[in-house]
Amino acid sequence: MIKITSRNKKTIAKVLVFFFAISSFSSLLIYAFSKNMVYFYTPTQVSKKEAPLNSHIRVGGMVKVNSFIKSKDSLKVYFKIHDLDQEMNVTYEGILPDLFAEGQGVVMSGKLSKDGTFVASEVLAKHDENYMPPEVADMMKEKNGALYKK
Amino acid sequence: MITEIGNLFLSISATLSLCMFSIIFLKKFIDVDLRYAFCKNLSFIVLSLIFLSFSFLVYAFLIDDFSLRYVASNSNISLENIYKFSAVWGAHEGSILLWVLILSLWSACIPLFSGKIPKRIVIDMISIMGVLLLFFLVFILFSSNPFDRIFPIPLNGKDLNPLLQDPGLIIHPPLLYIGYVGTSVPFVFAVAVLIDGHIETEWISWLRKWVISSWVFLTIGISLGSWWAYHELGWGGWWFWDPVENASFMPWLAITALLHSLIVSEKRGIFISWSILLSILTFSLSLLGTFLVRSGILVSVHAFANDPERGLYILIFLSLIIGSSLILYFSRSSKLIFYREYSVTSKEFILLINNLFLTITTFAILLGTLYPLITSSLDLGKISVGAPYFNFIFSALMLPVVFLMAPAVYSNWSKTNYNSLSKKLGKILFYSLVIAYVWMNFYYKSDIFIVYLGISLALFTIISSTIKMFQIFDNTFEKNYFKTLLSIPSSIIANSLAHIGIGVLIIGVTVSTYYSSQKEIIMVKGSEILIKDTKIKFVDVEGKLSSNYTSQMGIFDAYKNDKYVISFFPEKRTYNIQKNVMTEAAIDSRLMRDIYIALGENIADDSWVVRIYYKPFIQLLWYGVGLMILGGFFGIFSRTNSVNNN
Repeated sequence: MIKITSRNKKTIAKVLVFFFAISSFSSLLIYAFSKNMVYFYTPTQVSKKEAPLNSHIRVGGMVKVNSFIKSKDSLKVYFKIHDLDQEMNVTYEGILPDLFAEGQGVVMSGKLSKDGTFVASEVLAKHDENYMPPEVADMMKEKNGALYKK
Repeated sequence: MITEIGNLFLSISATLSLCMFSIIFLKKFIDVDLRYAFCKNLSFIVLSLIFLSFSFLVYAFLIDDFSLRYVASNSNISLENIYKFSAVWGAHEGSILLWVLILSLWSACIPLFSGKIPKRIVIDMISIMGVLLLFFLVFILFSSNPFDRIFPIPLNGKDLNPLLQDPGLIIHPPLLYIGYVGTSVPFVFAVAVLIDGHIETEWISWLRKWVISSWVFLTIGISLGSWWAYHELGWGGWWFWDPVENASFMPWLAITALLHSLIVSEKRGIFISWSILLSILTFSLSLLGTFLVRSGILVSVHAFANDPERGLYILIFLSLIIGSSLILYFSRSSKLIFYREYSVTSKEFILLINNLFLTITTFAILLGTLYPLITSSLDLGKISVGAPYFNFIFSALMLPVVFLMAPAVYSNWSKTNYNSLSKKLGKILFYSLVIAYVWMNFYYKSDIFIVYLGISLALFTIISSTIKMFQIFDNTFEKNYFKTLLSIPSSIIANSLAHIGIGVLIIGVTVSTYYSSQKEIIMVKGSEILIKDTKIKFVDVEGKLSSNYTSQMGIFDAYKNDKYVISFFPEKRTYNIQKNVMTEAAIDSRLMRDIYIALGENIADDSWVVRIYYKPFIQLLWYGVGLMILGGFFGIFSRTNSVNNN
């Protein structure tokens, strides 16, 4: 039998307080975490309607050659990205990163609209000549692998 | 020649590190003094050898020796000399060599500044340093050797990544590494103490100096990186919660917690076992950071190599180190647990809460950083955790920490009279709330609650710490002027300055985040635009040539109340060799505001895309960091036997 002395009582109280504190922190954490998780989709997944509409997601692929259109009087741009299989339309308003170019890899975050166009709020291009966003690199590797098998 | 000598020196140091480590097993056979002399000299020799091989690499860069693969891939004949020098740590191999150099430097410093630590502990500490050195040297020799040859020898190198050609980046890595690697000292101390099973107060005050030193360097290193991002990346941001930034921030949070728990351990003899655990965790987080940055699993400017083998090697070492030291901790730490009663109003309790919050914040950032990596490596989908998560969690958890800074300084050990504490601080809190309210409503005409909370807590900290510092001055200045000036407990100056720094930083961050203006527009030459109180006129764009890039330089004039203020020259550079385009923003920094102009694309003949930011009080961010660092220096040089204010 454990005797409940005043010292033990204090320890129990401390343990309870810490337990309460830690559990409330963890629920705060989990809440914030689940609210801010952003999933990545490929153009193929988008074409299969696997990506949710109007929620914050990321997509990536290669910018299709000759698909880039720039508006004359605003910062709006339109282009297509593809993953060798499927392609999708993208619109973006703002300044593109220095290393953005047709035929290069790109990762964007934003929302998918009803007509299947991706409205990007942020565009990330690769950092240098030798580097590609890992999501795109993985994706292209998979696709290329599939091509070789055929 | 360079290759052979460099490799030879590295191999010898690896062998000697192994000898250093083996000393720990020879306790029963060799006398303490002999073992001590052996360890001490070995650590000096290893330092000299690694320093020499590092110098050879520097030399290879300076004379453009492109027969080394590493030099060929990261330098170029036309690169300025200073960047040839900093290119040494511009990529993976060289930066790991720098890591080891600093590790050997810290280990050679242990016997030099061992103070009152008994020889048997110093010997164990150096021995454990030996195993760390051994690991990194083996890692260099077998998987990231900067002395590897390339054949055929190229006529010219591939050039340094243009992003890294910036003055801030010359010293950012070395300083950050000094801080990062500095966490190895508390780690080896913790392990040595666990092996010994005994600890004394004097040792803790000794350890605290080391912890403050590496805290100072980590702070400088991280803030330089941030400063660089602000000036160089062209987005006007200074913190992105990028995994690499988190990798350096987690050890910072952990070492900040350690700094505070060591105060309690030193003065009250409790929290010792917790401090030991924190020391182990801090170093583990540093190693984890190295793993994250070096393994190439992250998308970042810092991710040089895409080599899973290297990552695997570091990961295995990481688990060995963390695993074995935690096993040691849980089997031995019970000897280091001491009890002492303290009430909820005591300084001990407030510092306990501080540690609790800092640890949870570290864990939250760890979760946000690692979770995406885990799901993607287990094929559970590609997820990213956005900046909003970190911002929310970080500010929510840091608010109580900031609030408790003033009570922590004003409270007493063991028990504080609650009434006198609330009387002292209540007034200050009230004034801070009023000042913050007046400032926000009359100056910014805004009432965002979180900004109000941030500013008033920051003011609360600033005012209370300032008063505390000047109280000390007042008390001492009454008597003999110079004698008392020397006897001012610099630990109080140290913590006041650091806390004021945090307050200043918070004001800078909140005001510049919530009240800045941003314009992304198309401007035609000769046109003007108004941003806040300043009119920006787009004058012209000129071509400019430099040794390794060509650039287009915009010319903008700023006017305030129709009076000319300053001109801006933002550039769009194209680097000759890698054909990279880089945006060089132009920034005019004043106490009250920064104006930041970046040149975008050329749309038609005379029209360009321009990005302009007006960021109020962002300079306070750097001033705040400066105060924290200054406080840190006072902490390093503080006398531990200084009069305790309580």
